[in-house]
Amino acid sequence: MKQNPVTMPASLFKFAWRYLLGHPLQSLLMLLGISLGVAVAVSVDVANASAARAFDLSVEAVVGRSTHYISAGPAGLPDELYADLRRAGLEIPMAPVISQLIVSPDLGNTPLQLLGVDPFAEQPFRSYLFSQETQTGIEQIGAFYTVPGAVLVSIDLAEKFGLIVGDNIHVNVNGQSRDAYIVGLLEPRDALSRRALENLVLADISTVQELSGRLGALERIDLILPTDKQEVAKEKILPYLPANVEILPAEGRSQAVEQMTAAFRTNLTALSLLGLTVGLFLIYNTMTFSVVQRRQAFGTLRALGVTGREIFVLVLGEALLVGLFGSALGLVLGIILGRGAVDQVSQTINDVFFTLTVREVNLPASSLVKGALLGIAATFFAALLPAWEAAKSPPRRILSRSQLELLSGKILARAAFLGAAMAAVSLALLATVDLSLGASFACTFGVTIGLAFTTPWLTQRIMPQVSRLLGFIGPLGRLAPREVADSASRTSPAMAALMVAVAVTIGASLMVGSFRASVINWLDQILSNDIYGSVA
Amino acid sequence: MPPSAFLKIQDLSKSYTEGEQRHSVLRTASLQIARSEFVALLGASGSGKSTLLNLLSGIDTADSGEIWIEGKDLVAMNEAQRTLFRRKNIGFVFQFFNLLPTLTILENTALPLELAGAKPSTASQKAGVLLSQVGLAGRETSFPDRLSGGEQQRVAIARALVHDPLLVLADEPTGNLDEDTGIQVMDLLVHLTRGSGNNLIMATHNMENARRADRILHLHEGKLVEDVKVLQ
Repeated sequence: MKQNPVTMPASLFKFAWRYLLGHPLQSLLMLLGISLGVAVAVSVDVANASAARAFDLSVEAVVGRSTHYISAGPAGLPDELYADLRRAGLEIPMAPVISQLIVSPDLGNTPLQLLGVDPFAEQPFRSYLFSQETQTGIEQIGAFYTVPGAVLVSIDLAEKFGLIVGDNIHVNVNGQSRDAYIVGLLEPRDALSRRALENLVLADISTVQELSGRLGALERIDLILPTDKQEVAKEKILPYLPANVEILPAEGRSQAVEQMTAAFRTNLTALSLLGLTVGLFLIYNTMTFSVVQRRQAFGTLRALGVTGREIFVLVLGEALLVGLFGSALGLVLGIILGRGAVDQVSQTINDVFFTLTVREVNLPASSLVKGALLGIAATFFAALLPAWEAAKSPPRRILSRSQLELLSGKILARAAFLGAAMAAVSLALLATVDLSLGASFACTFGVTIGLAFTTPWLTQRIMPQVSRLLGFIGPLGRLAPREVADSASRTSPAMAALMVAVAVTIGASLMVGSFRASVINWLDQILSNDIYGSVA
Repeated sequence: MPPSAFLKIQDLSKSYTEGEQRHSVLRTASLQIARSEFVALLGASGSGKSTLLNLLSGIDTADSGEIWIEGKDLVAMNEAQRTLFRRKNIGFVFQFFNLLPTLTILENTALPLELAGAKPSTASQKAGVLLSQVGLAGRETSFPDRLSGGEQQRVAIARALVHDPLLVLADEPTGNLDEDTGIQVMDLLVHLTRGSGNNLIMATHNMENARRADRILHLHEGKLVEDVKVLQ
């Protein structure tokens, strides 16, 4: 006999759809499971992307088009070096830079970068600062050189805080209050320049040297070396450089900082995925419950001639429908949560790594696509087993109540064995092999999920002892633990979900705690004296 | 070789394992049924009546023996083939009605026809006619929980007959109904199956119901012990 293809009459869809509508709390629980999981994943992704974008813009604003820079490390460079190089007539574009983090009560008390530059050398490097398109041209900023404490701010920043040309502002530099004077406003010519300028306060090299107390010092000299003759250009410069001064590639500076935060962002992503795993268990639990609840209806359908494949497609389709709605809701929630998470993530980056101001939430389409796909895939995988269970059980078994628990008893033992093996292998790998960050997280997932699979079986073994212990309360005390053990197919996913949720909470606390402990440890090692003196 | 009878079972046996123990519920049962015949399976609880119905419908598989229905060897079919055979050729009436709670009674009745490939409009039309025949005209859009037990069983009868199956299997169709309602439901079941020429095999422990059949097969501890023709 030839096997017919899957036929799904409209009535079967009505059967499924009306069940979802008829059990709103159960459907809501499924929706919440998936939407919260997606929301956490999307919000962390959005926060990470926003922080990364802000970081890129900060680097872009300061580094500009430079390919290399001359540096002597934290000690800085003598500004005569720049004069010497200029006088040498090397025909290599170069620009001196000195920067300082400042905070101003007149500019919202957020950390800003005070960038000291030479306007005559700037044009090839940071064209948005001094160019013909920028309304503030060199001609308009004569005061830039002549007025002590003269600074330029972007027109947006000035408008935001109600400042105009000629206003005095107080700035806090290294804990010292200084006065600065707005001599001009920079009007950005495009969105990128606008973003680049929003964290910048611009001044002449000598102004920044005065404000920061680093007289005669430069932070670095930016260079644009020709792509095809970089080594030749370097050879020309090197004879003029004192000892301990070197030429470094510009991209290395951003890479170092990016690497510092990469682990932190990977941690956040991994923990958000564990959050999705909790949602996955929740979907599995509610789907299993809905299958158990409709066992008789599925038995009837099977008796009427609905094939196992058709029931499988029906249950899976039902889950995917909820998954679609849940993912859509999760995306909206994720964007809302993401706006809050941006502050948290940038605050932690500020506390632990470096100063970063994230003014805009970056919403990459890839985050939304990734979130939606994650939600749908998670629903699909969570619903596979219940759908398979509904489809594969012959009608006689579906019509009998005891079989599923008998079946789940066997499944639990197998799952516990597989879970224990997965956890043991993952633990062994973590303990013995020097793994990459991604592989380490895969193993951590292995341990968490493996142990989650052993939890239901262990609980089933422990419940009879608990029942005995609670015997003094009376029959009710014995009843509850027995119920937990006897209805393992419904209670076990809830136990596993709870276990993963607790693991995620502890994991997140440990991660934040260990980051902070590392910083404290580092500070303890660096700052071992009781009192320090500093140049004001 | 396929037999000439409409339905033939030969040396059919079935046992279940419970813990360490194996219980025989059907022992080498053999019988033949002619087309349009109404057969009652009579016996106490656990005598093997429901097991025999499960085997005839392909819901369950035998340990040994043969089942032929209209020349088709049920034992040789796999699970999916038995399901599709059931979809097309078997109508079920259960003791507990087993209507789908989220479908209206019209949708419940039309489902076997839709599964057989009929257009929804055709299926609904035919289901409506059958619901009228069982006295439920005007109740098409009601859901099963709004119906009495007797009414639900009438819907179940309509559902069992809507796709004009070769064989209607009824498992204690009046077992969950009061006496008067049970008589009405039996009247309807017998009237409609005889009227359409369908075969009916009914498991019951009610002698009154069994007497309405053409033949009564007595089952005792899994064995067919008596085969009695009923004179109407």
